Amino acid sequence: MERRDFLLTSALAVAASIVQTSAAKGALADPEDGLTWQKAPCRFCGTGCGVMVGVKDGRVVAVQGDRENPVNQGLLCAKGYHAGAAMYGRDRLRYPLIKRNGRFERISWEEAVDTIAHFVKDNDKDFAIYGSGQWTIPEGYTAMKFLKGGCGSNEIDPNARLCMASAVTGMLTTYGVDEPSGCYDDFDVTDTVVLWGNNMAEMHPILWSRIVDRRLKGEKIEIFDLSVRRTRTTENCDHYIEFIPQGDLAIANGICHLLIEWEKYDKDWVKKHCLFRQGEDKVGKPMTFEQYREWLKTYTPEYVEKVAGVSRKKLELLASRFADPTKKILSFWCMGMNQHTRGTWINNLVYNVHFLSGQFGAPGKTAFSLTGQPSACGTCREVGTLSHALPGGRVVMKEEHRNQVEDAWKLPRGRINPKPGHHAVAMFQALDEDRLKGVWVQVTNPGQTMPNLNEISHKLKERFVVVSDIYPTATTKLATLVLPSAMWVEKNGVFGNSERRTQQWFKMVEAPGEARDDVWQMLAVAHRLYELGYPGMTNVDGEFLFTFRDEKGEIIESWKWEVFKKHNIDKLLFEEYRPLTTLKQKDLAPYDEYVKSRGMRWPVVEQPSGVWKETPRRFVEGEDPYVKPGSEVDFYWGPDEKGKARIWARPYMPPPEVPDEEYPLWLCTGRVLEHWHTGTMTRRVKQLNSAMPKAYVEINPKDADRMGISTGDKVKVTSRRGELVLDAWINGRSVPMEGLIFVPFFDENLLINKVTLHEYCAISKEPDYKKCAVKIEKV
Amino acid sequence: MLVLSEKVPYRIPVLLSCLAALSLLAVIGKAKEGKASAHEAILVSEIAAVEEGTDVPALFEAINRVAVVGTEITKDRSFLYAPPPNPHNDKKQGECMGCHAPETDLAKKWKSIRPIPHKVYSQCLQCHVSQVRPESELFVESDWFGLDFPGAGSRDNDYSPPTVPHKIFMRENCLSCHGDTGYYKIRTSHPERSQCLQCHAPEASVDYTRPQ
Repeated sequence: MERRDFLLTSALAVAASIVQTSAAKGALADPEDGLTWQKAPCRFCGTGCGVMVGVKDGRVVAVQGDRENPVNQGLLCAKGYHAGAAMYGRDRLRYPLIKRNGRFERISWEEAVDTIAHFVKDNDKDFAIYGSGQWTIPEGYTAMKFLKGGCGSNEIDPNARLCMASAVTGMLTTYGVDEPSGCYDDFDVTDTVVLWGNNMAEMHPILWSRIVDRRLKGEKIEIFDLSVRRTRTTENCDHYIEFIPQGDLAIANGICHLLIEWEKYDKDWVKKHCLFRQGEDKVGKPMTFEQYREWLKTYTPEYVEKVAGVSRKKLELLASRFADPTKKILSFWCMGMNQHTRGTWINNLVYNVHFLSGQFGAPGKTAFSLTGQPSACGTCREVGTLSHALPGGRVVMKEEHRNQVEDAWKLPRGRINPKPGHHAVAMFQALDEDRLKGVWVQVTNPGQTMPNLNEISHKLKERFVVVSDIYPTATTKLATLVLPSAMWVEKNGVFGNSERRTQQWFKMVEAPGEARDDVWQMLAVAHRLYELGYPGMTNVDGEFLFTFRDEKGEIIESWKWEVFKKHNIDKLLFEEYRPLTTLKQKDLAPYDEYVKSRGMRWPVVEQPSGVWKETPRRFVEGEDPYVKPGSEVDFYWGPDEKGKARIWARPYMPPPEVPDEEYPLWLCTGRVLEHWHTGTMTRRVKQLNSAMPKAYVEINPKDADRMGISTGDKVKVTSRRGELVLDAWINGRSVPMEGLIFVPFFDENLLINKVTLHEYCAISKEPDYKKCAVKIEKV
Repeated sequence: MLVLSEKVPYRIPVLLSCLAALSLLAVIGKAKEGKASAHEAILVSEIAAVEEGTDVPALFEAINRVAVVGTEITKDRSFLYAPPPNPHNDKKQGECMGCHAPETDLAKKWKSIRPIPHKVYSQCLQCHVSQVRPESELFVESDWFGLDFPGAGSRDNDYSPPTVPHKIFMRENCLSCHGDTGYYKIRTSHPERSQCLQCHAPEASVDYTRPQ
């Protein structure tokens, strides 16, 4: 039907209904006849907004913000409103496909499952799983148990390695246990916000609103924007502090230097809660306060100005806020600090600033790491779908941890491999070099997101690549086998967001065609392996590794799709996983508690009354039940001494590639408001696509003037690794600093990652997408 | 409308070039025939808005019909409860409220500029994304069809007030759509009354906070 006809018919329908209503006086028409609304967390970023999903005739027809959800209190961003529309792109994958003679052919699920099972059976130690922070908790748990428990292999890593790994290693090296202490409630009471290379207005819009909308009520919040480009976020900031890429390391040390020189640091807080440490690796060695003070003497305002390009005046202004004990300061960061060759260090250094100033562990005072994906915390970090991790903060290197998990999974001792597998970047290098023979990719798009794509893509085609996805992507092009997946409310799910909030939802509509849940796909292959006699899929009782029983004690044949559909396997997996979460006080409540609530922040602990109580602020007395009474703030997993966190002496070091005569500009990449990651979902929504149809290159107006480039001109961006031609956008939504260009990575037709570097943080193994050297020319 | 076309060129002196004035008139012509696109209409409104104090309510009245039909009722909106995309270019945050604030002089004066229907948030553009290329090709065709606009609410008899057939959340300011500045088919006959909900009760089924 043409749009015009549609309008006409709807107008007629309205007219008809008016006539009808007047005629049938008193007959109550139900305007939402057949429409049902159910809660779910949004499927996109790490904020974890609550949405109400409207379903009619088996289809999602509307999405509204959930007023009862404390995260967003009814508000959504453009992506969230269109999460439903993102499900209905015409090219949804509907059937399993196999590549034969260079063409994809439809095959049955039985054949697909059988093909994978045979491959895994023959290559169990050379078969990897590449997962995602968009995996639900049960999906990630299943994949990990499949590989670490079933195959005795640790070749599993998620895309969160490219996104959150530095935040994780930052927390582990600073206070010994992963995930933030603070929560979103802090946003409502803070009076000073410091953004460390963070464009919240576009990347975490609802959290940004939560902060700046307070000004509409007359509340005063002072916001510092430390950045390399003026963005929409900058428009709401009081101070814009531009720095040379990598200069953040010097700025953080420079603030600490001033605090100590001014004798304005919080001596009492530091004495009670901190120890000092130096070194470049994750272990380091102890140092005294005096040594630290001496070490900091390099970071004078003059030095900071030299390496970071920040004036003494601006540095002192920022430091003066940390020197003022009456302030409540909240720091934010996301990819700017994490996608950094010194990602772990800069994370450590920002905690230093907050510890020295005592700006930690009280309402409105914290350093808050924002996550990019809806369940990077829940699935990757808590379940532990990383190459070295096990559930609940355990690691494969520790025998005690391995044994605990082996016992929980009823596996013989020694099943779990003590040697960590490849991390994400190394995994694709290993595939490239044929050291790994195959990979199963779920819920992510490495064909577009891996750094320096030129290196990985051509060889990947020669391996056994299984891709579970909902749409054709840059990665499905490289696949041997494409499996159609269910998306978001087409399946049950549980996500864990940035503030430790675990949220659950139920399946509301059927997936199209033969698309099926990722959990089922993994279970089906596991069971096929079991049938083939692969020993790993049998537990010590001689039963299938994923054996679930119903209330009568009978085995649920979950590997059969018709049976899987009738049961809530998510709940069974979640309940199996739950006891593993308590080791490091990441306690989760029973599944049914999450059904009733709009999510709860862990640790969730049962009270004598039987009520499950969440923990807003971790390590804080009065809120976290595991804190030692009288300690105020208790870092109970302190890496050196129980109760104490580290203040690290981490130096400034220049990045691996710096602009020079040949490649005179910095290249920074990132996201935009309208598109989620690689745009595979959001680009299929008309409203979002029309707002941001293709990638572009942002250039500083002075640089553009010098080169005679104006908006709309074609510009070739070239690095030592690759090149790309893009349209220039000058003085558009954002303006980068002089000498820096910005390109978003969402566009699969304009892959900027062919140009980026693949150097990564030595500790977190997270690559740096934010800085490399390029040249540009008008073409 | 006749008065308008005579007045406009005089009342918008220096800032508007002849070209702009001509395009303005061309769009007024189109508007009369109901042919102007929402974009053209908005463009004209922006040009005209440059000259504050210009007496063009009738012009805006005309544009309003076009603009509202174009942007507000189904065309660019994904579904009933979706935020309508904004038809302007990528603006800066905070510029929106110059015209769309609930009670600015502008809103009162030039009734075509729709006051926002919900409480004030500061980050307008995070929901109302700009449609810079509304005619740009879809990346991939979509089979999405969202919840349609509701029909009229039910009423007991010809003289009783109809019920509200849609959710009120984010649409608390009824007069944004149903007031003088709203789409003409759904305008109230009595905009001077402000307490809409004391007579027009929402249908229970559209209020998901109620026990169902």
